[in-house]
Amino acid sequence: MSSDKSPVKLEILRKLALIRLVEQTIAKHYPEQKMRCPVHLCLGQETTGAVFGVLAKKKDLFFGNYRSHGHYLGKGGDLSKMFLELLGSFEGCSGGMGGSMHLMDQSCGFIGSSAIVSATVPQAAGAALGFKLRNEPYGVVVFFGDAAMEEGVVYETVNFSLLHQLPVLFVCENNRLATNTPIELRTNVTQLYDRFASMGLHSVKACGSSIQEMMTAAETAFEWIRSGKGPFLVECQLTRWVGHVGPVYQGPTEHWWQNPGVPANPPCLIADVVVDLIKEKVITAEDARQLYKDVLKEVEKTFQEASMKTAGEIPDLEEVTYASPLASSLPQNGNFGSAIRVEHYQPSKLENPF
Amino acid sequence: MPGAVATRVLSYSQALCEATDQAMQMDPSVIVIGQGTRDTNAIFGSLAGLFEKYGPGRVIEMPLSENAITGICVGAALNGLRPVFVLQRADFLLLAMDQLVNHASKWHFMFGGKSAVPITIRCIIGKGWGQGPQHSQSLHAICSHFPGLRVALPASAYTAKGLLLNSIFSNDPVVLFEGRSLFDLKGEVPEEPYVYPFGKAAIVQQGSDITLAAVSYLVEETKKGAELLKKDGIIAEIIDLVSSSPVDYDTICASVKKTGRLVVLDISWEPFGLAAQVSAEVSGRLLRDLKGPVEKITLPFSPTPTASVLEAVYYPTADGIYKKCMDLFKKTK
Repeated sequence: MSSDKSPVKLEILRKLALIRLVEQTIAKHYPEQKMRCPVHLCLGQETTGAVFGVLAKKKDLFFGNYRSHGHYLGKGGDLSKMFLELLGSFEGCSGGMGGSMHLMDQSCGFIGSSAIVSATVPQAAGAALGFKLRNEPYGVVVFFGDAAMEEGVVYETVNFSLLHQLPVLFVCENNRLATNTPIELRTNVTQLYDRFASMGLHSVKACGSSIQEMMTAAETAFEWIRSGKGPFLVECQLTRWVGHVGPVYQGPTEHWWQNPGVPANPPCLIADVVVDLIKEKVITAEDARQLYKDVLKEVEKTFQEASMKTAGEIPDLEEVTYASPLASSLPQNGNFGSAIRVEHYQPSKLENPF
Repeated sequence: MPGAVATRVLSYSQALCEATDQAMQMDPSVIVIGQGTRDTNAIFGSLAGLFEKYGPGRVIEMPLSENAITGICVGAALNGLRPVFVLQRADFLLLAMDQLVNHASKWHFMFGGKSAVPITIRCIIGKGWGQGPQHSQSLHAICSHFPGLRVALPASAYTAKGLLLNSIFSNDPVVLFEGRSLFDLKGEVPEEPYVYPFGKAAIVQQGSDITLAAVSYLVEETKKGAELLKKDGIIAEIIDLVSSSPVDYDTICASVKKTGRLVVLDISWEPFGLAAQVSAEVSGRLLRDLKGPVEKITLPFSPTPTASVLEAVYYPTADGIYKKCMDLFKKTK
């Protein structure tokens, strides 16, 4: 029977279907060479963007990495603008300057993504510091892969986030691959979620193809960071169904919409959600098939429309490089009457100047 | 720069402190983060009293994690703050190059101008007292190589205050290189907040015979060298370059058109550096006005030595500046 979780689950299903079909649409059209940038597809890994995206508040902020189509769409990023970005249009979500690896949509709280592994992890903590200092009830989610856990900056960020009890949620997408190098060649300890336990970082792991585990983990994590207890880490165990970069599909041949209601083998989160929702009598098998058709049609239509557009007027690259003129304006609300007197500071009388 | 304003004498470090204090008063989103912010001397006086006044939420002591802290500043800037990150030695910036170069400098461009990273990184360059190879480098040349950053090197209390305020309220990432040896240097500073623009050189002394374009602590040494030249009847025009990204070539060229001679003085090494860059640009622009080659005074091409007898021969002096200028005069009679 349907539960109070069913509407959320249905929303997650819609996001999952959207993300997967967008990725499949990109894979299908990529050989046409209209999208002239590297694409790192998240086929098989849609779960993180969909689950955390649906459970986040609108004003929570997301940071991604170079494989972030799912995180962007999960948070509610504009699909047409994402396609335009991949197509190199100046109307794209990042003005055509970023491409697939640098997506952003401020209107939905997707702040940005980077091609450097682990780099958005400290940035997410910094954004969380902003919320904390302003006493705002929001959190920041950052997605990174298992290889990011090998970068020193993640350790540095975890330490700082714990010290300042920052509302930041670290989502480690463990697909056991760094490009194509298996985790066993990179570390002796392949269980990642409790790596920072000795520092006091609370964490859980979840199987990425289980809707139950994923929802429980995400709910626990959001509740934790929103209650002022500081950062939290979720390790999601995932399987990548494509090569590191490019459109070559390596996933199962059976698809979630072909036989709705029957668990997939190998496991697939979308199939798992459909099984649940049919069992709960929220949807029928026919609804699932229809959802596939509707979403696919809409995604294809959006892509076709985007690919008809021209790139736009060539911008002045040097002008896009800087945000401010050489002289900035000072805020006009200053009150300097009480400026502290710095004269009381006495420089050292010693000759030693350091 | 305001017109008739009340000024008084402050040291370079007091000027930096006043700028930070006024910025924090004007805008609650300004925060300071660094190592040693609560030490008794509060980063050589440049943050004196600020922790007591603004508390731990806005004057944040940091763990020794330069790359993460730079990334945290980037993220904080993306969520409404204007962080000022202080590094007691510029050399530590090399630990933060991924966040500075791959992220802060490119962010505005990479996202099509829809997002900006207003961060200020204050880097203090050690000099003297055996600071040695890893405590006395200036990294303005490499920082100026990357589009997206503003880079400046205050040489006086006046520019220190104005540049720091300009940096804090700029929406671009800014790296300021401050000379530790200048922190007690005193000068006239207006009490009201003001901005000193990037890319604007300052004429420190007017002259007609030779242009001496210097930066950071070499501006003071150049003044002394110019005094020696006066005894030979040579009046030098001294320019403080102030910023290295962008460089104010117009001011240098206007001066060189008048004098026909240029010596560029940099606080770092010659290859691919500020002196080489200025020399190349001015030579190209003023091929017909130059009476001789553009001369350069830079550090010897070795890391900074520690022994004081070696420091004494390593850093450019007024005597060395005088000799270089006299050599140029011999060539350009």
